[in-house]
Amino acid sequence: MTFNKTIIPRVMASILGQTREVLAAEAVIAVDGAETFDCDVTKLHLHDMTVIAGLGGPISLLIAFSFETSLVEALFHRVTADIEVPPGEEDLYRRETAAEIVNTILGLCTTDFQNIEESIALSPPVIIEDARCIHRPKNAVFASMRIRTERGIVSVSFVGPRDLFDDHMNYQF
Amino acid sequence: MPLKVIIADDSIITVKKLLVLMEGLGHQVVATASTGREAIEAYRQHRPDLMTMDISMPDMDGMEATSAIVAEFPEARIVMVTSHGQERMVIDSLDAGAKGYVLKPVRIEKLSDMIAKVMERST
Repeated sequence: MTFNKTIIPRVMASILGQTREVLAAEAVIAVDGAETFDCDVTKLHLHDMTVIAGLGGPISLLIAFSFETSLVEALFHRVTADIEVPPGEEDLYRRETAAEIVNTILGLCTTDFQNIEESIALSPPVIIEDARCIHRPKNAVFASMRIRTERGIVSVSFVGPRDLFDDHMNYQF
Repeated sequence: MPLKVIIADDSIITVKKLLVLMEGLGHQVVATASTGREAIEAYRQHRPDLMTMDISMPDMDGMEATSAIVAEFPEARIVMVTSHGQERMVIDSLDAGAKGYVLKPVRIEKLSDMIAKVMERST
């Protein structure tokens, strides 16, 4: 199916709503607000920890959640409160926490697209830990949104069509 | 009666949380798997009473793994445990042979209800 950038505002709204729900349910963290940027974004900034996953089928977007360290730390402590984290594996569990939160948000977002007949595939999340700036190639659409929580910011970047980039946000010529 | 359970999910956090919940319900987790292929192998090896299956997993997704297990073991009781709530995906999972579907975040009541329904239907 052809990529249609008009889907992006609907996906943004869905992600904002589900992020609010998941952070409240999983970590008792409140979302304070959000700013969205339109589809004219020319470059994306990824922070220290970014989780990338793809929504397939008719949506065809790569979505990157870039977390401030303070938010990852708060999520890690809340999400792992009732399980044992082996000594020395705290960093692994921090990454896994971020990945699981993103996976849950995106999975629940698919419930907001029930009118789409085709299945919306969700790729397993990939974590990258290098801060990076990605410039928009001419044939891509970039958009972004910043969600503010009481424990830090998560920036959400949207890149379409998703097959222009690999799962690590590298442009595929 | 305690059930022999396998948990298939690529998230360490989800596996550990489900393990705590299953043990809290009095069941015994006999194996875990982090890919679809591992899930099939674990099923063949342990023949559990119940398996929980994630949908998005590396190398082979949970839907394909469920189809493969049910083709080999038609009596298999597999419950999808996933955040993927699109109705189309729920239908596809049931078509693949899953006996139930639980949406994340998983709570003990939701899990317990689903297990009870699945076990009741298959006895």
